[in-house]
Parts: sequence; structure tokens; C-alpha cells
Amino acid sequence: MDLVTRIMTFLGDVAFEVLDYFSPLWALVILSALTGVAMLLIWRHTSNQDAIADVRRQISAHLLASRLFKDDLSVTFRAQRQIIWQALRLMGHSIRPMLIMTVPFVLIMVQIGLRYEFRPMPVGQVTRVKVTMKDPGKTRGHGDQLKLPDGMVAAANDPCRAIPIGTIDWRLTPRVGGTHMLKFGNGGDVIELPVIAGDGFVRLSKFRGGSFFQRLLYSAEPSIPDSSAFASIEVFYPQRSTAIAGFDVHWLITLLVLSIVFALVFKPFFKVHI
Amino acid sequence: MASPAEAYIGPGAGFAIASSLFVIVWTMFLAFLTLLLWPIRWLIRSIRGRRAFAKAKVRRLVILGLDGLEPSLAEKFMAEGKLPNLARLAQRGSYKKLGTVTPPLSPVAWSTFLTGVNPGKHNIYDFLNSDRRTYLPNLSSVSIHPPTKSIRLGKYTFPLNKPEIRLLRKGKPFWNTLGEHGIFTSVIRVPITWPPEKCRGVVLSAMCVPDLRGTQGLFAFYSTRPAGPERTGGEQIVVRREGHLVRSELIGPDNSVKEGAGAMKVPFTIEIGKGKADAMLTIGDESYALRLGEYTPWIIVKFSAGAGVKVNGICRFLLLSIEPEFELYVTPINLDPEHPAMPISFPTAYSTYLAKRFGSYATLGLAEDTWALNEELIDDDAFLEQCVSIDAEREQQFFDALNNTRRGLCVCVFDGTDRIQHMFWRYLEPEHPANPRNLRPDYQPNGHEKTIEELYIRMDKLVGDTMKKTLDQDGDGETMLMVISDHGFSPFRRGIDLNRWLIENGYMTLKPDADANAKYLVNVDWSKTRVYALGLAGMFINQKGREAQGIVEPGEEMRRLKAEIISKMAGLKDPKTGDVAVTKVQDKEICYKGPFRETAPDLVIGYNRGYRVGWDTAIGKITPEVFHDNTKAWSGDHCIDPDLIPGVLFCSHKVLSDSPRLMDLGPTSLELFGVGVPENMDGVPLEIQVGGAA
Repeated sequence: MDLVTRIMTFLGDVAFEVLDYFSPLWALVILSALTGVAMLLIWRHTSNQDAIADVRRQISAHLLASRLFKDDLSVTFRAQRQIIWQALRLMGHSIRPMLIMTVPFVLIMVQIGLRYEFRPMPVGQVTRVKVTMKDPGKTRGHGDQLKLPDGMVAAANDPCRAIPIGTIDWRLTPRVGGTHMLKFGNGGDVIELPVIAGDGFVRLSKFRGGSFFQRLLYSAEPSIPDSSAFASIEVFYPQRSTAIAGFDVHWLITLLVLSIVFALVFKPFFKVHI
Repeated sequence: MASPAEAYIGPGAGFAIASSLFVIVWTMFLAFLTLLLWPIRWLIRSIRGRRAFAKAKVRRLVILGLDGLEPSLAEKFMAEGKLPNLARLAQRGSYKKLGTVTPPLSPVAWSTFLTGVNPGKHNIYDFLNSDRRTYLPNLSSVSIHPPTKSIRLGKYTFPLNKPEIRLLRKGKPFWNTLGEHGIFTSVIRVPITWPPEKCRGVVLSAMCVPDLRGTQGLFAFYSTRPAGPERTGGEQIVVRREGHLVRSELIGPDNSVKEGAGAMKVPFTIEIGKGKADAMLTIGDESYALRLGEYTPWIIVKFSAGAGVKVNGICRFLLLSIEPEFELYVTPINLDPEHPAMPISFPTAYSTYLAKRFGSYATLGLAEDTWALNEELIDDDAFLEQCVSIDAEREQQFFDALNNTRRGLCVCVFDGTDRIQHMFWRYLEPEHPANPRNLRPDYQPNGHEKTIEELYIRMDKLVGDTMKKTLDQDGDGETMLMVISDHGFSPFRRGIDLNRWLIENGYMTLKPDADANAKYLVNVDWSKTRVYALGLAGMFINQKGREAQGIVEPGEEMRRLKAEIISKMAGLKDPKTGDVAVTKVQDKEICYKGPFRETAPDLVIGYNRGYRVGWDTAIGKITPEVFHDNTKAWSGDHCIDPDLIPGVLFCSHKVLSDSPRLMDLGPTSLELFGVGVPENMDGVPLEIQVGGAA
């Protein structure tokens, strides 16, 4: 898992080295185009193109039939029944390539999500950080469990401990922008997590540790060692949205729509039946 | 917005599922709309007074045309128990001989069938007509004129309107009259329906639909052999083999967009011995396996005229030989039914619908390449396979039309019966000059002696399947099935050169030093010629004021001349056999009535069984003898005395009329649906017992 994360993070960093030359919105458009093309290529090689082409033809044929034989209601409905059946067949043919496609795309989406899902901690504003201990009993303090870096302050009465569930919360306020290293200690057990404050599109790890999916989807950090008392650290970065034509649109929707549009545009050039 | 883990598969899943979901939602919407609009459509129809089926005696009439099905063979095979379905149909209803037309040629006969009038009213007398100004043959049913308006941009000319395709067949198809009364029709491949006419229903055109090059079918033969004599119906292209590669081009239509560009071409490469197949054909971006003696499926070829203009065609390849010579046959390039360069159906989308539903199919009017067999480029098996596969395509289209026409008229014509009998009749008669025993001493029987019998058995199965889908399925007696043929069939053993006969009898004179191989009557001295023959049907008087160089005065001189020829030619005997070769000669004034009689040949020749106009006469070539043995594969024919060659009428209901004729079927159909028969129709409704009443 760590190896995959490291490789993907490295590739993501290299890609965004180039994409950083563009505005975040244009970078997302470029990523959508690349995603669209990649989807087409994977689709072409993992799907039964002949069967899909045949289904498509049948759908067109029955659509035409419902127009040509509209005199007879039963023929029209039969054609429409056939269209739905063929659409279901098309879905059936989509399952295999979709499953195959899911693996690389989840990894790619994670890399894009690490940059587009959240904004860095706003300077001068409070951001919540939560630590979860493997053993709730260890939630009771052993002196300072968080060593704050310079330029970061915690609320006066922090931390807030929820002993029954084994969590400790801090409300941190960055005074200056940039990368701050948070060090969480429990006896000799120390775990670090870099957090970023300020503006801009940067790679943000919401989690260190946590469940398989939390690590897979929201983290570029190495996992917490098994011997550690810490289960996970979570930074509550603010959610980000992109403004398009005056509307706040989530990056995933933008990418979803644009990648499909690009795939449809490029489809004839790659001779792919979808 | 939260970002659940599942959302990360969004683009992939959306890509896969979105289109299917869209289709489903759209279909639901259409279904809803259909339901919503149905009462409105019903109301509009009622207000317009189209109370379809109100007086109809049948709910559905199915007419299955088997072109050229010969009554004597059908009767023989029925008696032998080989055609159980036709026998069952006859027993359930009727079997009668069906009177054909003069001359008994498919374009003439089917035109009469669909209009219910004699040729004098529908203007079709032959495949070809004589152009009286040039004495050259013209296609009788259609004329095509290029676009009249265009815009020039440098070397390119872009048409601003479509080419004009004019149907020369006159008269109104009876299904159009049915349509005016709200009755739906599906018409599949009935000859002389191109260009397709507007109707209430669907029409897929047949005979006279050209190939992509605008001809009635031009095959291509690629060979490493030196070019042989000129091929009728196709052309030979000499290719060179470079190691295991053969490169050549498919020749398409002329490039009308780019000035001086000539014919459009699509290159192809054949790699011999590649992969598991005998050769690999690469055309465009696609590759196809070629196996000796096996046709490829229909292959779509795209001819580019430049400036983004493309024309689609379809063709099939047949690898004939690799060693010692490379030989490849390519069918005529048919119009691609999915994207036809010219409309071949009404509505235009119907041909597309069929192509999407069942794949590409033959669209050429005369789809079975009889010339390739006649020219001995393909063998009997290859020709037969072509016919059978085209019939299979037709069967799919027909059964689909039956499915979609639960009320109304469904007509479909199968041509395989005609083409196969034309080409395999020689096997039925050991004494036929074209029988392989008489041509090749080393001939060993190859099973084709049974090909015509097998054809009838195959057609009987088609009839059986049709009965299952109509009579057996409906079971209410409100569906009527007719199986018809437009004419019968007869041997074509001896050909008659009418022009040589005219020369020998002093009606035609050739120019001095005439070239024996010249076609289209170019050797004729028109100043001394009173009569000439062209096409299959008959002879023309070189009439003053009508023909460009006419010398015979209309009126009395013309009448006298015709009478003279009729008396001389009727009863003409074949000196070799002693048989009567011409049973009768008819004056067009007597056998045709109607406004278009003038176009007809002045004299229509009725040949005896075994005889037909000679090959060379049809194209205006003059030979040294009047009578010739016919040794071509095209060994059966039907262009003879119409009284000798009736078609068949099988009907699921009892036909009480004694002598049904092809021209009666249109009026009969109208009456069965309770629609009045137009006065100009020459046919009369047959008396048929429906629901206990005639």
C-alpha cells in the first residue's frame, strides 16, 4: 500500500510540476482531456468492441423502427422494449471494462483529489485536527501530546479529549502560511504530519493512518507503524470548489463531465465504440 | 460537498453507464410521448375521414413474389411431394396459373403488377428503350441527371442541389392508393420501385437501383493474366505480384467534385499466405482474411472526392486463385444501405434501419452477378452462393416487415428464383447447347443437375415459414397470403438475330465494309433501313418524323409494313431443328392501350419455348447467322410468347376467378381492403372467397 502510494504520489507530483504552469481550472480541463483519452484507450482494449457496436446498431435500428412503424402502437412499444433491453445489454458489456478502468482511475483521481478536494488551512483561522488512539485508555494525557511548530497556535483550553472513543481534538490557528510540521507524541512514540497553511493548489493529505479507504483516498503520507499507539491523524482542511460561470462546482463533477465530453469528442479519432 | 469514496470511480463508471441510462430515460420519454400523442393522431385521422379497414375483408394481405417460378416445375415437384408447403397452401386455398404480360420480362411484369395497368399506361416495355434520336439504348425505367446548380471554388465544384433521378414508369402503385385510405404498406424489393416513391409505409427499392458507379452492376476481376477480351458486365484489371504482395485499387464513381480527377479509387493490398488464411486483404484501416473460394462479408469502402466529400459503397471479395495466376473477383460496388449516396428507400431512413438491424445487404437492382458467371470468371458454386446469401438477406428483411406490418399490406419479391433458373437451366436438359456435357467432354456431374429442384425446395421452406408467421400465427382467417410469380421459365437453347433476319428479308441495310463487332447498330445505313431491333422485346420501325433518320411514312405505309413483317415472321422455323421459333408477332397498336404506347417497340416478338432474341441483337450487334446455339451459362429465359409462360398464383383463400392475371392483383388488393378500384386500372378484382363469401 505504501509503495503504491509513494509511486502514485511521485507520478502525481511530476505531472503537477507541469500542470502548475496553468491555472487550476485549465489544469483540470487538461486533466479531463487526458482522462477522457485514457478512458477511451482502456475501453477499446478491455471491452468487446464488436458486441458493443452491434448493440449500438440495434439501439439505433429500434429507434428508427419506432419512427418508421409509428402507425402501429404495438410495434412502437415493441421497439421501445427492445431499446431498453439493448441498453441493459450495453450496461452488461460495460461492467468488465468499467471494473478494469476503476483501478487506475481511482489512483489517478486520488492524486487529483489530493490537490483539488481541499484548501490549505486558512491563515488566522481555526482548523480542527483530530488524533485517534488505538487504545482509548491512552487518550489520557502524558504531558504535551502535540508539539506545535512556530507560526501555529492552539486554542487555550485544547486539547479536547473524548476518552470513550479514543480521540483528541485540537483547534489550531496558523499565523503564517507555508508547511508546518505537527509532531504528535505518546511517550517515546512520535508521529509527524506536515500541514499546509495559506493559499493555492498544493497536495494536501487529510489523513495519516486511518482506515484502508481513508489512506487510499486522502493521503500521500506513509502509514502509521503497527507498533504506534496512534490509529490516525485527521486534518479538517476546508472543502474546495471551483467557480465556473459564477457557480461553485466540485472538481469531481467538472472532471466527470469534461472527461466524458472529451471522450465523446475523441471517440471517432480512436475508433472506439462506447 | 462531501467526497465519498464511491465518487472516485465517477468518470469511469459515468462513461460506461451514462449513455445506457440516457437511452433508457429517452426511451421512457418516447413511450410516454407515443401514448400521449396516440389519441391525437387517431382523432386527426378520423377527422380526415381515413377510416382505414372499415370495409376491409382482410386485416393483412401478404404477397410473396418468387420471380419466375415456373408452374410446370412447381406442379412436378408438388406431385413428387417435394414442395409440401406450397401443396398445403394450394389445398387450403387455391393454386392457379397467373397470366403474365407482353413481353414477359420482369420490369414489365412487376410494373403491371404494381400499377394494375397494361404497359401502354405504365410505359415500361423492356429493360432498355431505343432512343429514337440516336438509336442508342436507354434504361427504360429511370433517367438520372446531374445537379443543375453548383458552386466552384478553385478546382472544386460543389453541387447546390441533388441529382435528379426521374422514374420513367408511369401509373400509381396500388399501395399508394391504399395509403391514401390509411392502410399501411411494407414493400420490399419489388422491381421498378426506384427512385422510391412516397407512400404510407416503407419501400425498399429493387431492380434498376444502380451500383456506386451508376451502372446496373459492374464487377471487377483482378488478375496477373494479361487482359483478355472485353468483359460484358465488368472489367479486368491486370495486377502484378511482388513476392507475396499484390497491390491494386477499387475503382469507384467519377469524382464530380474535383475537376479532372477522374474516377475515385480506394487502394487495397493483398498479402498472400499471411496468418491462417490464404491471404489477407487490407483496405483502409481494416484487414480481412481471404480464403480461396470463400466470399468476404460485405466490406464498406469509402471513396474520397476531396474537400471532405466521401461516398460509401459496399462490396464482397472472392479470392479465386493464388497459383499459378493470382485471380480475385470483386462484386459490383453496391450503394451502402446505411449511408446511401442516393435514396434507395422510402423513407430514406428505412434502408438505414435495415442495415443497422441486420447488417449490410445487397442494394443493387440486379444484385446477383449473372455476368460474372456468364463470362466464366466465377463458377457455378460461387454464383449460387451469392444468390443464396442475397435470398437470406431478403428473408430477414421480409420477416422483419411481416413483424412490423400486423395490419395492412406486405409485399416482398425474391429474385433468386429468376437468377438461378436463368443460369442453371442448362443442367435440366441434357440436349441443351449450354449443358456442360455438350461443352466439355471430360465433364463429370457436379450436383448442379439438382440445383433448380433444390431452389424450389428452398422457396417452399420460405413459404412454409411465411405461413407459420402469418396464417398459422394469426389463425383468424383475416390474413391472406398470396405466393405469385410474374412469369414462368423456359429453356433458352437458340438465339435469333432479328437484325440479320431483317437484313436477309430486305428491311435493313448495312453500310459498306461494316465492322462485324460494332455495337448499337452503328453499321446500319439508316437511309435504307425500314426496321431495326434493339433490346429483348421487339422491333422498331424507322419511322419518318419519329426516328432521327426515319424513312417509313407513318400511317398506311407503316401499317402495311408491320402487317408484312407479322405475316413473314410469325411461324418462323429454325432450319436446324425444324421447330417453329416465333409463334406470334404482335402489333403494339393491338397489344397495348394507353397514353405511353408510342414508346413501345412497334412489333413485339413472341418466341416459342427454347428460343429468345440473340445476345448480340439485344445490344445492336449484327451477326452472320439468324439462328445461334446459346452456349452461355444464361441458359433459361422467359422473354417468349406470354401465352406459353404464365406465372403462378397460390392463395390461402379460394380464388373463384378462372383466369387470374398479374394485372388483377392490384385491383384485388384494393378490393380486399375495401378501397375502390381506380377507373384507369386495366385489371379487375379477382373473386376470392373470404369468410365464406366471395
